Amino acid sequence: MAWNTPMTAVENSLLTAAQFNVHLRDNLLETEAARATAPVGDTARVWGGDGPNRSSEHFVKDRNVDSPTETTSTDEGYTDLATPGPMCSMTTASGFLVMMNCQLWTNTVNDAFASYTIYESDINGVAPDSEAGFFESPANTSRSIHTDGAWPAGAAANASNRQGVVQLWGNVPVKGIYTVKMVYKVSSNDAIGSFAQRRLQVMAI
Amino acid sequence: MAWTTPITAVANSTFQASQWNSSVRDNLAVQAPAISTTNGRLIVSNGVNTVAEREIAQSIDDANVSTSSTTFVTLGGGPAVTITTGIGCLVFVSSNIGIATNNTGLYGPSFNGDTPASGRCIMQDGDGTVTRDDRLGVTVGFMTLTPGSQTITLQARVTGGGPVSMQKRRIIGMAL
Repeated sequence: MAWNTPMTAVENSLLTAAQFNVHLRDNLLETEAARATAPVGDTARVWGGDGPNRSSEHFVKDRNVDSPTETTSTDEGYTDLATPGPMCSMTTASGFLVMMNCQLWTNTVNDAFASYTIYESDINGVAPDSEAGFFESPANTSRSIHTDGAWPAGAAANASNRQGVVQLWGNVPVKGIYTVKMVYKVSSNDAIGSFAQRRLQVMAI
Repeated sequence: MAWTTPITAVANSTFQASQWNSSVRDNLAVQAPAISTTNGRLIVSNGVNTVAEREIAQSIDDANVSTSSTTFVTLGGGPAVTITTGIGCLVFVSSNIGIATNNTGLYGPSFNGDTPASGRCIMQDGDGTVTRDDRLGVTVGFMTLTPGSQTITLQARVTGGGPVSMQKRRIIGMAL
């Protein structure tokens, strides 16, 4: 079904069955009330644009890995911890509003980072098994939570805080299911980065 | 009023008043423009063929407050928001937080009077040597709520001897 610009009625002309079906029935069937779906577990749904003359349900999810504290010493690039994620998978035609929080620290003057990667997937976060590759927007430091290991002189080296960032990412190449997953790194492999209370909220836009 | 699948009109049949009322009038009455009341609100799904209007509320208190309580307490000025939700709500928390002792300060949202889980809170480690006064923020998702009115209040505690101090405290509740 698609939206049709409603006709302009003309005095003394009959409203035909075909006109009713196109301009009233079909347009009513395109509305939010006609297409609102049943609740799905712990997923909230906000209505938003989905291209010209089309709206859709946009999912909002929350996923947490609250324990245990896990570590990495990888400075080569962002990586999973022993317990990956958290991650959220959902359909979007545009992108995501990404909100993530984490407690993080290092045992040296080096820095710790928690960022997120976005990749094409199924609804369970599994990427396509494709030799041709698939879409991925890799994690980077500009969209990370960052703790500076160089605390003031006299401070404990492993002092930490819990903080978060909110970012808008809107570079989906084509409408489909994508996964947003938190990944982690440190600024030097001389350091051990520790991460706890990892929380991720994602809203499709 | 509830959504009804509109009739399919048939040529040369009479279009009855009852068909207009159920297929057109009543279906228009459950659309977003018909249920909208206030600027700045969202439209969300609220069950099969049902949409609802949801509020985004904010409360701010800039005053500097502190506590040495080792259990979560509400500080002067809250802040708190009360919103009507469906099954979900996003809560955005931010504040300066500082602690001068070798303990940990926590500041996060209590949902309808419950005890904030540590993972909901902004957190500042102290080491008794350097007092940081960072402004931190977290987002908390509540996605398995019983729909209805919810009051969300920021509360603070320290893990040992305090005090922990906060200022420029902000809470935003987005009902879903």
